[in-house]
Amino acid sequence: MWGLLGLHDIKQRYRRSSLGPFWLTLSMAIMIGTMGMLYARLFGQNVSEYLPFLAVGLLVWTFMSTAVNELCLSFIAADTIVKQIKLPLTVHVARVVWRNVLILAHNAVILVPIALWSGKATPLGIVTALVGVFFLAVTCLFLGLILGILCARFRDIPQIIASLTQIVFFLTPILWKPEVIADRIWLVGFNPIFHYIELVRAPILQGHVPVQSWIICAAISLGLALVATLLLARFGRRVAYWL
Amino acid sequence: MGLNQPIGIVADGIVVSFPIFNAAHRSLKRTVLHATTGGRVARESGSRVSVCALDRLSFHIRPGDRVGLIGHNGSGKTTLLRVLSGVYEPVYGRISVQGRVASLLDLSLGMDLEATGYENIRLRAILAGLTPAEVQAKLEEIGEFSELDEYLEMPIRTYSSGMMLRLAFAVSTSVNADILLMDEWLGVGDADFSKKATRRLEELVDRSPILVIASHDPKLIARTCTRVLRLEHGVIVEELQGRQLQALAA
Repeated sequence: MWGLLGLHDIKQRYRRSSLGPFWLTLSMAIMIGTMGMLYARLFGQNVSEYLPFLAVGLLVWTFMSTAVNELCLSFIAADTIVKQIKLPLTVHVARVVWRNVLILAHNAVILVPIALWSGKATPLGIVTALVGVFFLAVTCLFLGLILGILCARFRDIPQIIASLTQIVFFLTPILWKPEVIADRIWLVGFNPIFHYIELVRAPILQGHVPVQSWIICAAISLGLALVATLLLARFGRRVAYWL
Repeated sequence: MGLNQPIGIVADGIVVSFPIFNAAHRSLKRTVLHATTGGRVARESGSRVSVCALDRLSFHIRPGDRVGLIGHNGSGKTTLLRVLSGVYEPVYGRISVQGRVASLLDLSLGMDLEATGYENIRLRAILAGLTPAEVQAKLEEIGEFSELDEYLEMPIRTYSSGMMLRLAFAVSTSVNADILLMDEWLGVGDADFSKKATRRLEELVDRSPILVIASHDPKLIARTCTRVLRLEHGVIVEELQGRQLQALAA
């Protein structure tokens, strides 16, 4: 059910444009192209090294930040349905996550020429990256349940999350490589978002599996799953009253 | 839901109360401030008001029952329908609903103005949990009944309000359910279509083992129902049956 609903969302959004969701991809490609050129120059880095780094990082980041912000509203946006039909709350969350995975899949087209050009991607690396994306999506599902329930109750959380994502974007190595702040590398190590991005970025760019990041992310996601389960059991039934 | 259990509804002392939030309760910042300062700051978020919409209701509805809910605005009729549909979980008490429930509370539920008529039918069918094959069969039947023909290929934002209502009605009444929930009798459109619609709704009611309908129209209640519950301030104040119902219409 969530699959069909998510697909419907995508179709709806691009109904009146002939390029459809590829509009997003096109603007993304232009942004990565221009930013890649500019920042490679600013940071004094090799374009052929910097551009793939930026492209993968920015795509994964866009997926995560859009998903998180939309997930805050997953129940609020579906309030007429929540108040009318008895459906598991997970359906509404999965719909939003799936919609964003589909958009990420469209955007991933950009990576094909970049991967060919950089020439470091291995089949194993690509498979690992896909597993990483799947893992990200599952994590978003848990996070979405938590955020959805909290946001239905406290309506100022979406704004707080929106400002936080802005800050996190600059604190996380997406525009800049971790090596740039080699003397304060712990800043990167303690940033969970960095590890989640690495799950996808490292296998594509360096062709290796980031074991340390996997361990950290697995622990965090497990924690989120636990919190989500508890919240759902405790407050899931109250959500309809809060909307 | 046990498949072999008989269709029916049993409510045992159900209580539903709504928290009433104002802007302050909706704010995390204020709630945190309130908690950390022992209530001195942001005092207005302290005393939360809640409204008791249903107060210890108990009843038993069996197959064949046509239950009418009457009472003033705000007496709890719609809330009770929502509890029966499973959307509101009672705060106290127990309710068991056995059977497939179809609620016709909001006809235009989940309709998307940008999508075409056909897509909207599909969307609703997905929400109702139908399989793609069942949906396909529904498409034709609904298209035929609504008489919208080629309009179904167009986005429903181009529809007149009458056409929109026809589509919503056709979709909503194409269900098969054990328990039918309705908020007022549904009526649509011009004289011709209205007759057709009434017939369709009557057929739907006839093939549903249980009907629960909330209405302000005593004649309608007397005509369709076998039992009537009168609600006042969330409490069942009386139950009418058999001959007492005729007095209602008079």
